[in-house]
Amino acid sequence: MGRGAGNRNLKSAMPGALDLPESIIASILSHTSPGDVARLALVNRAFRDAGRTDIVWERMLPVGYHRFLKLAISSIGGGGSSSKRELYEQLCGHILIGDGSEGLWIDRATAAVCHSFSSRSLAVTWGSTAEYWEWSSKHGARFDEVAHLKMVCWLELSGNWKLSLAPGTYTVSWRLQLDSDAFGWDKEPVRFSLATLDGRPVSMVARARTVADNWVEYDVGQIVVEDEDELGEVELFFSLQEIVSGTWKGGLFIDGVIVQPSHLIVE
Amino acid sequence: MVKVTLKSAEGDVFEVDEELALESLMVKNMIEDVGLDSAISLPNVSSTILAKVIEYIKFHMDAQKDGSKKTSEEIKAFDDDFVNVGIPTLFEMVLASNYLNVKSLLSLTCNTVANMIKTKPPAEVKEMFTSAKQAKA
Repeated sequence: MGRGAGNRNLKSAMPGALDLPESIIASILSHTSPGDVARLALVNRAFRDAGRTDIVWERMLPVGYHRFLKLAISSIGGGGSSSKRELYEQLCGHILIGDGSEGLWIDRATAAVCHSFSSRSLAVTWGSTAEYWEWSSKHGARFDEVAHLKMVCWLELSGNWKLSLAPGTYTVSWRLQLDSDAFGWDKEPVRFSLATLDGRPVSMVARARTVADNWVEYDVGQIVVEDEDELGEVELFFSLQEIVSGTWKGGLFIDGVIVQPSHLIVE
Repeated sequence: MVKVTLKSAEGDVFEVDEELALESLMVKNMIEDVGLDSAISLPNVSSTILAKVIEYIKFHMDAQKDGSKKTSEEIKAFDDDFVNVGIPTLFEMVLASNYLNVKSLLSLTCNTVANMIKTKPPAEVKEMFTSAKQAKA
């Protein structure tokens, strides 16, 4: 190898010195992403063990995750007793926060935080009339209760949502599902609107994506939280309506509205 | 200025300012325990690597001093160049910064390794780690 005498002495002094110990592999892994950690667990035992340590997962958790733990309705993270990896796993599921009308979860591969707003918090015209609307549970919904439109002529829902977002570009979407016997939707298009009450510009988007379990996410707009805002306070106003045709329509389920980092959306 | 004598694995002696030596938390603890009278022996760090670590600390101490004209681009360029070494050397620097407890250098070197392995399939990472060991042995 053309090394000097000094290095040969060193070699005998430190056999196998380049076997990086688990703690160092953990430090290296903490500079990667959760997806990388999962993939690199296949390298060898040291990588697998290092990939489970708190050193790694503390870095993977989203900035300000302590705030989410405080806001969560039910205790998560085992009151601090569980590992950071278990906590990460819990955050990948849907966690209800505040009074239960909002939720959040993190994207497993990138830890990007997504937010949800329950249909319970929407202003629903005729919403308290049982012949028109009811509340039910629906497979694959983010929330335990979703709004179920049995039938109505005047379809109008709106909501107002204040939330704190880390810098980035976000897509706002309605999470909806049409029943197999849905009717009355072929006369006029449903109109979506999105505005901010904090002066932030909104770029309009109109796109429907089928996600899991027959739910469809209707993207209605994009907002940007600039880098200088450590945690941007955003206030959204959104609505969904079809009040033009005057015909009866029904068979629609509304899970709520979600705000997720735009880079997570696979078109 | 008080000087500290550091002795590498090969027994080479490096005389540095105390201020610089204290950037290694491991050396700092040793000085607190045994004082400055005798040389501080670092049997886990080769002369080559110790010289690199000293160079790194010195650059960053100067860059942080009042009146330093170093821009963040220049600092970044220094760091990029500093870790632009072969994998065996890089691993030795990771180990040395861990042993000497120089947090910023540990973070820089670990981040460099992380960037190398991020996009690689596990088999290639394994190969990379094995060949680093063989190049050393």
